[in-house]
Amino acid sequence: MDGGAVTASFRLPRGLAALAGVGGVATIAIAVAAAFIAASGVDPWHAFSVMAAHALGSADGLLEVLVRAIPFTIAGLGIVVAFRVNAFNIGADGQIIVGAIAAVWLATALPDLAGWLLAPLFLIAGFVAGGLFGGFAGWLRARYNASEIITTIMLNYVAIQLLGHLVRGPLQEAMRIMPQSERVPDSVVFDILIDGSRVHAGLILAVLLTALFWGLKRLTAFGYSLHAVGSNPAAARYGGIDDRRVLTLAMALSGAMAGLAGAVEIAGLHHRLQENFAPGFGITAIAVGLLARLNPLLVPAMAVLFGVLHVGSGAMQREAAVPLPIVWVIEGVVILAFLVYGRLRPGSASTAAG
Amino acid sequence: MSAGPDSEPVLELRGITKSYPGVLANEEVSLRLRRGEVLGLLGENGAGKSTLMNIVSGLTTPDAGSIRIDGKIVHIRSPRDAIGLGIGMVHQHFLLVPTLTVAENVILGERRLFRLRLPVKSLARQVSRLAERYALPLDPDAVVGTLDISAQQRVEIVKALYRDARILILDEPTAVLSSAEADRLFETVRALAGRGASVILISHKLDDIFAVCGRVAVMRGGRAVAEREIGDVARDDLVRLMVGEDIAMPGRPSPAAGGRPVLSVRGLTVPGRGGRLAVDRASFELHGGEILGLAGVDGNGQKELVESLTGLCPAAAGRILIDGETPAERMSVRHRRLGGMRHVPADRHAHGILPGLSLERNFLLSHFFARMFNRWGALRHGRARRMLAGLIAEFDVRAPGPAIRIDALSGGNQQKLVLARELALSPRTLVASHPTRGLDVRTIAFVRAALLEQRRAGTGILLVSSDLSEIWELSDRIMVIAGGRIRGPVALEQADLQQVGAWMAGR
Repeated sequence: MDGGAVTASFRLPRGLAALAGVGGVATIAIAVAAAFIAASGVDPWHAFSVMAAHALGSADGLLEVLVRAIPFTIAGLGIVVAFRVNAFNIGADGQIIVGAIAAVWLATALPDLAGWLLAPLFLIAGFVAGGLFGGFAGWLRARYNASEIITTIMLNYVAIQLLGHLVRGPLQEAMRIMPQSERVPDSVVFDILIDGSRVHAGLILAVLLTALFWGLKRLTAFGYSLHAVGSNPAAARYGGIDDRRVLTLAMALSGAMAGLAGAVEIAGLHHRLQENFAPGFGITAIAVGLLARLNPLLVPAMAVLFGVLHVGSGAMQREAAVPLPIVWVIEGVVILAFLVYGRLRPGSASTAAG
Repeated sequence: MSAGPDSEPVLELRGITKSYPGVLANEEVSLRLRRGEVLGLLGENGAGKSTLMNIVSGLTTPDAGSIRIDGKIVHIRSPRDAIGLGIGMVHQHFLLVPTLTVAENVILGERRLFRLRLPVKSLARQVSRLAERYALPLDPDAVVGTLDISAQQRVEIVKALYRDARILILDEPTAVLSSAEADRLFETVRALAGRGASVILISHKLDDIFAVCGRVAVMRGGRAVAEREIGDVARDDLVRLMVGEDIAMPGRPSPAAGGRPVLSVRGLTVPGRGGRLAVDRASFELHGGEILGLAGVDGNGQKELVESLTGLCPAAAGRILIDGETPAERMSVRHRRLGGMRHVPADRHAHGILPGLSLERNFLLSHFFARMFNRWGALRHGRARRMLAGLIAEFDVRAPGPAIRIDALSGGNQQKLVLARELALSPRTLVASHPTRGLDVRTIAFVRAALLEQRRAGTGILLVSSDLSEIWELSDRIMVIAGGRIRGPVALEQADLQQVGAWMAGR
């Protein structure tokens, strides 16, 4: 059909504009970070080259970047879903934590379950727990118009305190020495894909989920409902879509993906519950999701980008004496820039509240 | 109470013209407001009343024409200019800060706010003195968010008076009030006029005009079509001035198809604001192959009736039967659509389109759940695209292709797409709400022809319109809604313009 040519010619400018927006945000973020680094008395160029050399200059570094990209991708896909209905899920951190808690709790509660059954249940528990956590915030927004930005941030603290309590109490290891849980059964632990690295089977899961979410967005009625509600909730209602239900479901799915990312981190890396097992990963996932805009296929690419940042910042701290939280500065600037951008753009977040 | 007719006008508009892309909102409008009078500004939605008043209150500037205050030409470039000239406007949607008190809201925007300590006590006293003088009961220390709508409106009025407004513009002030509250508002308006202020009351309700105004100006299609003393004018005349007297008398013989009832409405009741009923026991039958016209002045329950018929808001009581047997009053929007009901919404931008999405995705809004386009939750894009391509050709939608974003289309083409979408897949019933409002002449003709064509195909069409000539041109039977009550229907041949006008005026 001749529609194809028209599509291409009309979409190209939009794509370019989006790319320019992303490039602009990235430039601002890097400039702000450079200013902070310079303020701490270090040459920003030196700091960035140390970062790049470490994360990109060796096979070990690159593989470690992939390890980091796994949770960023999985949780980032969820951020994109919420963003599609003009909801900002700032609670990925808390959802990652409750996902991990639920998965580990299930594994400890059912120690005699067959491995082939426990392994998927482990992940499902994380998915469901994160979904309930995110869905609760979505329901509060749909039912009482409570800002999901506020509620999800608040729920983060609930999750962090809950984790602190559990690893010192009900879920603490039998020895009762460290604030951590018992090791999870071997049946739920992911295989290592590349010997000598920490790259685990979660990578395959992340790739499959990316494809799945692309299909969900492009090909399904549910993806369409999200799109419609994000564009004009009143028109969606007119078309027979229950916009409140869709909003709640989107937030639930968003939280579920973060919860799943939490369970994957336990199964792939830590194998037990600890405090701070995913420091700031939720915020990183938000930055990933925002930079990918509404395109699931861009999520893994952005996840790798932030993987480089996380892996490289460790080296930056050791070799250039730049404090680690500089990563958070960059992420914070990205999120702020997008919140502002989203409010300024007509037909975006600002019109969603009505 | 009101000053003599010869007294100098405090506000005079001459030849005000204002156009927006594709719309001439005001065309050569002239208007005089005298000292101490209450002038009604009457007209349908879209007649240009709000644009005119936005010009006076500095929210927008005219393309041509002049504004005189006390005989001197003034240039009003911002709301601050208007306030400085003594013009105060109370908008339909209040501009209040809900978390602040009445007194704080009243003084908001004052430069002296930037002083370190607010003289709160004396300000509160000043506010209550103003409130008392004009019979506006208000507690200056009450938090605005806790007040009901009528009290918030009083805050807006006090706000304008506190800024020494001599010319007060009230935009549809009774739309949100119960009739008792409206009566109280009218008392205040009279008190204001008695103390020498001049008031413009924007409304499309005749009751308001007759209750409080000394004179009335009527707008239609962006022009001021008449100015009358209230004593010299009858309700029916005003209705005709508002909706147009150039009604083409029945040009179309209408052999009512006499099809089976596709939609039966019995005793449908929808609650409205302030304990009133928006729709009061409406009953009628819509047959296949007919156009049933629902005439009426805007705001008489049309919106609520349409929303309860289509499932967007629940009815309090009554029955809706599809094909004379299937009860639909508890059905969701989607189930009603699956049952063959379609809906052309009154406000295309608010309900009809998904901005930012392609034509194809906008087409799917009414159909994505139908089995034809949905297999186990997966969308059949190919089918949708093929059907849309056919519709774009058939409805003459000027668009380069189905993947283009709907925002890129002109308003008329957007409306054609909405119509095409709703008429696709042989609907059994169509609720068409103001289907030609805001369109150009060519598109209006196209839309009307499409509705007649669909009627021939056997669809039962409920045509809701405040344009009486449109009702007359298209309908097989006509009914009228006024104050939520339905009169008629009568067959077109037996319909009498005088009678319909009287019904519209609520008699």
